[in-house]
Amino acid sequence: MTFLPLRVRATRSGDMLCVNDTGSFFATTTRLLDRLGDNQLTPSDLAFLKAEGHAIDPQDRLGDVAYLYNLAERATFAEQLDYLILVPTLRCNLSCSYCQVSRAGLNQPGFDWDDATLTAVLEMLDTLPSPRIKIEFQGGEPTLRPDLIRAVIERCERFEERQFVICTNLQRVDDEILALFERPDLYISTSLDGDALTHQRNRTATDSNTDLFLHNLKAVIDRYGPHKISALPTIDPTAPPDIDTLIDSYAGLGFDSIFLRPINFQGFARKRHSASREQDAAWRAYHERFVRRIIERNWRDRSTVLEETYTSICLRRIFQPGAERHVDLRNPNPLGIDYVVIDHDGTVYPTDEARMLSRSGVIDLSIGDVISGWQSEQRDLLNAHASNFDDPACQRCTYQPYCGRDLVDDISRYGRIDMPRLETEFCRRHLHLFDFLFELIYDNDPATRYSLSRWLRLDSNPERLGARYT
Amino acid sequence: MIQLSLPALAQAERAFVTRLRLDRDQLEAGDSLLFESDATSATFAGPHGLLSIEGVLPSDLDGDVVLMQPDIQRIERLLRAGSPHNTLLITERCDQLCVMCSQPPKKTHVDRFDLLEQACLLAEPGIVIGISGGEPTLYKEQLFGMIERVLEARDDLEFHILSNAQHFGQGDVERLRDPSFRRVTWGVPLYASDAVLHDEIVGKQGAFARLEESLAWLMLSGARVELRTVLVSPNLDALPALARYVTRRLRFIDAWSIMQLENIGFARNRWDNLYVDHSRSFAPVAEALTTATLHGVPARLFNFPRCTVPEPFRHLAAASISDWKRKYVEACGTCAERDACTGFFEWHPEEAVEGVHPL
Amino acid sequence: MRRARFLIPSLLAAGFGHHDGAHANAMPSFSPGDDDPGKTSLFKVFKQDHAVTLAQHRSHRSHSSHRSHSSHRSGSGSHYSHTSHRSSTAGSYTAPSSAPLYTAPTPTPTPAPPRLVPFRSAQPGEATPPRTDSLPALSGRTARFKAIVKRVQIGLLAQGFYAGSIDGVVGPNMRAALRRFQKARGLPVTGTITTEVLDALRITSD
Repeated sequence: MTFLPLRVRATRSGDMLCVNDTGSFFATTTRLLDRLGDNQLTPSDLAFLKAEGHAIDPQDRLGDVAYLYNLAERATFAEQLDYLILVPTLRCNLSCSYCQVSRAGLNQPGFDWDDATLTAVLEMLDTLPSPRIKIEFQGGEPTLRPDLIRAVIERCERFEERQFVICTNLQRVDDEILALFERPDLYISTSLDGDALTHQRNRTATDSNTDLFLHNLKAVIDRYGPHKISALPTIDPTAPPDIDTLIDSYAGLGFDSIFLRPINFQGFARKRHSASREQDAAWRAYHERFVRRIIERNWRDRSTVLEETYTSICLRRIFQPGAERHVDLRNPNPLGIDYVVIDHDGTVYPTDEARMLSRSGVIDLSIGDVISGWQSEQRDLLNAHASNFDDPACQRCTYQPYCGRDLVDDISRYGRIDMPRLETEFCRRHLHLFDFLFELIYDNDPATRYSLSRWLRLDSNPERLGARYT
Repeated sequence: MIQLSLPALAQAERAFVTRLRLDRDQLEAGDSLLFESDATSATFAGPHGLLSIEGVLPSDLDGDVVLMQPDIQRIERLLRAGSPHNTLLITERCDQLCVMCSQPPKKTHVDRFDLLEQACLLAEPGIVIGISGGEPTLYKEQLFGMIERVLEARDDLEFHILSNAQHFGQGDVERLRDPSFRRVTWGVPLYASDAVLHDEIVGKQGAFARLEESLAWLMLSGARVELRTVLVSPNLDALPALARYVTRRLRFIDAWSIMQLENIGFARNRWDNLYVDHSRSFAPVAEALTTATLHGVPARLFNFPRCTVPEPFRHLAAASISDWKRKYVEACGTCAERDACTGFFEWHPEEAVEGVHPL
Repeated sequence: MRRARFLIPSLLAAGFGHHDGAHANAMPSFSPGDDDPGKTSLFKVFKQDHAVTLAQHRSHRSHSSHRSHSSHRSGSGSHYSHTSHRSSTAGSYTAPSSAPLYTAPTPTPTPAPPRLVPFRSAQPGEATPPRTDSLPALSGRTARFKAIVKRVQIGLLAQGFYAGSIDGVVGPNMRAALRRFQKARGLPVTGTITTEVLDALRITSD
């Protein structure tokens, strides 16, 4: 009998949470662990451990192979480039206090793709082997260059599946932009920091800008419905908005997914919001209150299901490995393989945050450029460190199978990637989130189970979500 | 009901395969062209000479790939043009004897591999060809050979092969890893996670253990597997446990199909002992489906009319019954979901249609 | 980004060394980069066809995958499909994914149910077994059939390829005659009454 290693963590409610390398988990008491340690397992202990894949008979070939398969299922497999973040211009018509890329002024020359860059991007699109493509237009404000967006989209006709996202501040929605929005394969992403006042303070600055934004936002929602558009708040963790006000401002517009995002420690924010380097217990408590409030509201009004986007993603990651491809939380976290960012000057970065960090002058994280390519030593060096398999703290962590690795985040906050893991913001944030999620998973409150079941896309509300062995 | 076998007459003395065409411009090698027809028959001329088929309008046969057997004066419509439900039978022998078998096995085997291979090569572009039995892998060598040659010659075709998976071994792994086998899906039955119960249902001792071994080899081969569980009284309450088993040990499968019983073959005489009225006892099915979804294993329901499935699970009920044996009953006339619904088997007993109501 | 100076001058200065480079392959048979030349790694075998969901990241939420539960629950008649759709060209199934990509944002009619593997229907009883029981003789068809053969025999006789009786039966003599005729006319030689033979003899349906 082979016993697979279990990593154990006491939950907030006093259970022992046991997780194996494949992410298969159960809750139990210390008694089982004692019997396991003392070699005193009962037949029913053994039967349970075998059925759940924590112990494998020597003759059980299927159990062996299934273990390997389940292990592989947790690991990222990135082979083909099929996701591009394009920055056709760094210019912007707003100047937000926490602009993450230190945008360029509206009329500043030299911050748009030149002809050679455009040509190289289009030619690169022609060479992609994947039948699928997703392109996100970032900025700056990409709608300042609808001609470049059009050129890219037109070149993508050959792909079997296409998805385009324009990340815009919705300050300009004229006929030319609307013609782009009309495409059924195009989605709109914008920022909405809560009520009008908050949004204006953080972003739009003037009444007229704010009115324009809200008018345009309502217009596109009326025209296309809320599912064509996604909005995200950026939140100042030192002064977070009232929870219900924030939820109302989203739910009122028909948005049901709210990504509670504290200010990213990037760009202008490094100077103007220096406290955003690390989130404290107060922020985590706010996040928890926010999720619990959503659970309450979902239970009370069943007509819509609200969620906190990242919490919901992490929950699905626990149960449904490989079901989603959220590139911000994965392990290994391949850089410059399946997605890249192409900046206004043709420079290629592995992630948008890497672009921001380079733009801020912290460290050069570019891996190449669109003309000469990005299969560089720089990229290989990044990838040699881009997993949580090797970190001693991660190797002992119960949540390792569900978690990821974010080199850029470490560099951004600490200037290094070799910090003791438990002392990093990334680790603290995820430890907290997974602790919280497992508390919810083993919570018998029907309201909690109802929301979790929806976030897990279940068709019913099962009596329990996680296995328990007593 | 669409007839799959028709009386026919041919010049040839030996069985042959040809594709029937009405339009001269579409003729390709191996095709037979309509020469003349009347209300009840159609006569074609082709490489194998004249072929006259009874009881069907020629327009219904256009593009069909048929097997003519002069000795019994019948054609079989092996691949019907435009139909997604084409299945080739490899053998009638089987080494299991499932309690609900819809096509009870025979002891004799008629080798038709050459003819079936010819038929596959004449298939319409881009279709999925079903392979069934009996147990096709009793003739694994010939089966693999045929599949490989057809996939090599026709990169547009796919196969779906029903197999009890009692015969896969280590020696098959390298062969099955060939990229062409990405176009093959194995439909493998598993009725319970309890070995004794599964063995009882398939009528063979040790079947479960052998199946597990085969599944390990299939997993190592990167094979595509659709797991198939027919719902019968003995395994109804074992479904939730089976779901947990699948989500832990068989995560590699492409889909898990839970199927309602077909009132034919052995099931006809054992109907009262086997049939589960799921509209009354859906709870174990629901639990199994939710467990599968929770753990990211895509499950679906076959042969479950939509109105008999609770609303939250209705989207999992697939229109699975083959066109040629599907019927709708009177109550379906005004149903808004009829087109998405599987309907009923032509031979479905009346009492099982009770409670059907339009949505 | 072209810049003369960065706060952190290089990756090495940020702690990228080789100290844990060896661990990059901590899972030998699984590490994506660890392929025996000429041999498919088990990792790749397990992962093939699975990287089909389009990626998402935090600058916007996933548009389509999220739609799922809201529309599903809204009772609008549109169901959530947690499935990926099948690619439009033949040949590849897509692996499970949560994103029905490229979906119009407007309410759509009930989408097809999960289509992960083909809907091969129900049970083995799908296929016709080889029948061994002969059915009643074809009603009057034989006579009609013979009539065509006779016209071919007459045609071949007229052109000097056939000397047998005009009996409507394709026997050895008739087959030999057909072969001679086909060869002489440069037609595919089958020894049967093909469309080409009927055309060459100008025999059309009555």
